[in-house]
Amino acid sequence: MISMKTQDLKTQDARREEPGSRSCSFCGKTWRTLRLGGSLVFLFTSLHANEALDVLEGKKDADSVALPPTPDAAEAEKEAAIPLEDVWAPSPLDPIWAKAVLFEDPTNPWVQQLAINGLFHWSAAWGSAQPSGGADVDLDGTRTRRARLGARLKAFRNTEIEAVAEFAGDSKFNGIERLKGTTRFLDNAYVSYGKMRPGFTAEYRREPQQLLTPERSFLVNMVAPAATLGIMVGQDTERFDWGLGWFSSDNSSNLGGLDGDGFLLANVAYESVDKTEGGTPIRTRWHADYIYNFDDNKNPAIPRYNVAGRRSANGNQLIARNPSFRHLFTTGVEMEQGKFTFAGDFIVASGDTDAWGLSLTPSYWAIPGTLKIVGRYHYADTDDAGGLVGGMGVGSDPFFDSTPVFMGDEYQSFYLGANLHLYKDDLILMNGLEHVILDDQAGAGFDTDAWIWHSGMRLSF
Amino acid sequence: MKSLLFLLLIARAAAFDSAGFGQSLNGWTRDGSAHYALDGTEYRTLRPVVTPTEDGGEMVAVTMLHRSNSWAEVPFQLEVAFAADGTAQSFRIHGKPRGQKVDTGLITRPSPPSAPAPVEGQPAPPAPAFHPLAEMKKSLFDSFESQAATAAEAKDTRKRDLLARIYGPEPVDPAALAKGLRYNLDLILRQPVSAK
Repeated sequence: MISMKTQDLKTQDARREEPGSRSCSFCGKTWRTLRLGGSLVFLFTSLHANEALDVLEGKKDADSVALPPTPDAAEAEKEAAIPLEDVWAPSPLDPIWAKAVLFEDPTNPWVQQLAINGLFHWSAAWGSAQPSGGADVDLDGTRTRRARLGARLKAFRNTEIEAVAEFAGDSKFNGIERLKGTTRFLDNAYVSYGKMRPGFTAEYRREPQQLLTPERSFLVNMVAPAATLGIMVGQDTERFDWGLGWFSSDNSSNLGGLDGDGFLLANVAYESVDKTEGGTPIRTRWHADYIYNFDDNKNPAIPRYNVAGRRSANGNQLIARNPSFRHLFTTGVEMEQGKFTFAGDFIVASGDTDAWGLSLTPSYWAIPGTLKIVGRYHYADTDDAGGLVGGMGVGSDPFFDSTPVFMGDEYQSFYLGANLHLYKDDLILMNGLEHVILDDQAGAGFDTDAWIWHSGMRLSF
Repeated sequence: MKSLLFLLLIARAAAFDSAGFGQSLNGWTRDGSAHYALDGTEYRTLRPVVTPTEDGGEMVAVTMLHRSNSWAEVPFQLEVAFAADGTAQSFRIHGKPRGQKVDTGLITRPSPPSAPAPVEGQPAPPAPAFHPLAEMKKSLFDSFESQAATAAEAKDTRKRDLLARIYGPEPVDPAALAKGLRYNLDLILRQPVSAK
């Protein structure tokens, strides 16, 4: 924009110079300088005064002067830096998806919305794991990873009730996934109650229909608490969020009861939106979550699975006891700037088993709204022999499917994939390649390498 | 005495007739909107959000959606502020078609022109015609139509999924939008904004 204005000025002056140059070259030159100087003074009032004088006195060539942008040009530059809107353009499937909302009237004092919601997640993996000194483990397989159907009711202007049934998986997995109510009060405070997933780590807090990768990372699946009956109070202010809750230890695929002493969950988060030099806003959210498990190694909800007595796929080693944790802590950051997002999580869990690790998950809209490139590096470590247990491929989450199960003491995973968004975030094809390195140095030495190709389809409404 | 004044002030507070407004648009349906067509073009208006203002008046905000093709609607918000006596004080239209900001800003009621000074020995000249609502409407729609036309030609800055890319962006028709918004505005102004 700036160079165009300068060029236009030169062209105009060149045209006007022609008659003068024929009669008197000095007059023409002077005339050009004056015209240019005058134009510079009047049109670009912000030009540095000394430079303008130099041009008028002929000490400096007008072409060599770098002109500052006009207010219009600066405004245009600012506008050009406006980031991608975080809203979706209308799509041909909108009318079909809109049918999921059975009733909606924000002005109705009793019921504001009644909607059905669902999630179908089909997952496939192809690959093999090669334990050193052991037989290769075939990881090929396909699964209906999630098949959920539920309803959402917004009522009394302050209450939202969600009920979701899970139809995928075995009898330990399917059942009532959640039956949760949230009532808001005092503008930004809330109380949640019922069966719900505790918000622990950025990855586990995120709904599965919003996950960027086919599966959550190894350590999250290993330490995350089950969805149980609980109550949580908290506040979402503009900058700070906090929550404090108690959850039962009854890990049931149905509603469950109030068994055991349960566990306490505390969350705190700080969110900010800052403008960068380019004008693109950057949203940052720091969080820290802590769980204290009153039932220690007798809590079936922490962790959510039980692999005690099973034998590992790497080296047929006996898993003598299920991991158990008393304290779980995570802190991390989620960032979003234009087409780029990043989530980093550090997790530490201690009890009969001590484990820690981190996940770094960047993503980038290669084609905004259509194709997202996703990467993830995950690291997990423990000082206990065979202290890390988990799956690979479609059985990455031992709560869903613990065949085969692997054990080790250091885990690394590199994932690179692409998500094709056919319809917004609600109909996605996912493909990616994962390389896993599982060391078992403190155990029987069955280090394992795996290359896994993931494919999946996720439909939600 | 103060209590009486307070009661009088409350009694003079404006009250917009949302039900009557809905009736004039074929009635509110269970999705909280009214569906109607003007010269074959389909529109939808969401139930108005009515907010009391500090001076005893009301702010009426309605979202009008123009069905631009079989699967897309273009929404715009129309805001009308009423004084306590029911007179319209300001208009505003804003929206983001294709992610582009369109905002007319607040078009406020103009003050009446001062009467020309009488010339000595001659009869006082008649006061010039003053139609504040017509002037406000003209300013509102002049600003809206020019901005909407620019937005209709601008690049879409929103996220577009694969199907949206294949089918292309929804058409933004400034004339149809202006017609729908004008119709809504006229209806709002026609509703009795009376004392509560």
